[in-house]
Amino acid sequence: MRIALIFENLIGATTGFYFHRACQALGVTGDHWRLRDAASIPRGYDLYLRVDNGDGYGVRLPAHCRPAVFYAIDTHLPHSWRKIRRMAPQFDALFCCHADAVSRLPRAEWLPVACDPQIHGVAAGQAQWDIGFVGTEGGIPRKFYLQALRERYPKSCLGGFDYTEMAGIYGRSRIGFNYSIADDVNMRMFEVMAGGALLVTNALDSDDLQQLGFEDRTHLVLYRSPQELFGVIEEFLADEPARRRLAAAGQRLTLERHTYVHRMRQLLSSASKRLFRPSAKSQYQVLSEAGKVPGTSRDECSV
Amino acid sequence: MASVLSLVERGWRGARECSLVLAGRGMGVLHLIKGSLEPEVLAMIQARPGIRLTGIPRPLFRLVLWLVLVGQTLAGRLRWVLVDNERTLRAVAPWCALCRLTPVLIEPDGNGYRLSIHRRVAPLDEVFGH
Repeated sequence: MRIALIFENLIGATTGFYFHRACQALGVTGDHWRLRDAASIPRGYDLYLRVDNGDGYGVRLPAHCRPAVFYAIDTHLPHSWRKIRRMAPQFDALFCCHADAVSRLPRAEWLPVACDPQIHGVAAGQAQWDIGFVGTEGGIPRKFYLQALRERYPKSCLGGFDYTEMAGIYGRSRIGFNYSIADDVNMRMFEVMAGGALLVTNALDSDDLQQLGFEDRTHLVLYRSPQELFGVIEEFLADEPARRRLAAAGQRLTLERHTYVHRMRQLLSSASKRLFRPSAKSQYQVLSEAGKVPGTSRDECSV
Repeated sequence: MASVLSLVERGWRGARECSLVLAGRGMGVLHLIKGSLEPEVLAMIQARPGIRLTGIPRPLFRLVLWLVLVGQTLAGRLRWVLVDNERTLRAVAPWCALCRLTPVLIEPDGNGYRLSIHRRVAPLDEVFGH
């Protein structure tokens, strides 16, 4: 099976990069094509997967690039959403990382972001920091949360670091902080849990986390206000056994069910039912049934 | 009494940490924050003596910025205007030149911040005096 993965840059910490690695892990040929070179993508691929990189929404794939699938990411950003909605009809199927966008796009399926165990899933080391956070400051209120954490917990590691440092930071943090800007399940949730820190994240309006199997105070801890955030941080910094227990449960569930290999497998499985030519479909099914596609057998992805 | 007007549009860390230092030296800082703040978030920011914070709804930010800037200048309360982006720096620079105020640009720098006046990076002591 051959897949053309279409997105701008094959750089770390982007969804396209992780999907490309997942293809390699699955034994599927995944060729990266830059969006700017879309016109020269040849025929012959079994699937053309365009991964949202927040740009290039006006670029149309050549007519021969079929079946074509779009993985939409920036549906929560108003200016991107308008463009995504306009370009959606040119694809045979859509997958969205934000669950709320699924109902607003035709033929769309929810495919949340995930983690890459090779990059995010190191064994937790000796805790060095109270709180860990890797990412941008964000807007209101996240930038205020982050600064308040810096001032209250000086032994913390909060800031923009390279993605290669992420696992080391979360692996040496007691708690991984997250504030989901768009009320969505974001990459940081999986990155924190895969790294072995206890995820403390804001409660979502939806039940998306529960749908993915994550329960409050079983795999992670939710907060609903700044006061509650500081309360749970104090609680779990003081209760080391409980913190370790929840962090381990979160890490286990994340690595067992929420890697990009699992996501790519879901995407290919769904696409094989809906879109593939018979030859490609049977090829994928043979691989799956033989357990040669990682994630299709039960013993895949141990911690 | 505010002697520094801080216009917070993008970041927060730099403006906040700078204002903590200045407040410790007895200088007043008024942060005008672009965007509404929930009361619980405002409470979390924990204003300290000498530091005031006000969240301004985004559509009104420019208007309020000028009302406060002109008002504080005419009241003789201002010496520095702290901004976190070039666009606002360009907007306030003529007024600052006219009224002998010092516009200061604050930008993220690694996991800290840097200050610059007249496009020259300068340490905090030089910008605000000892």
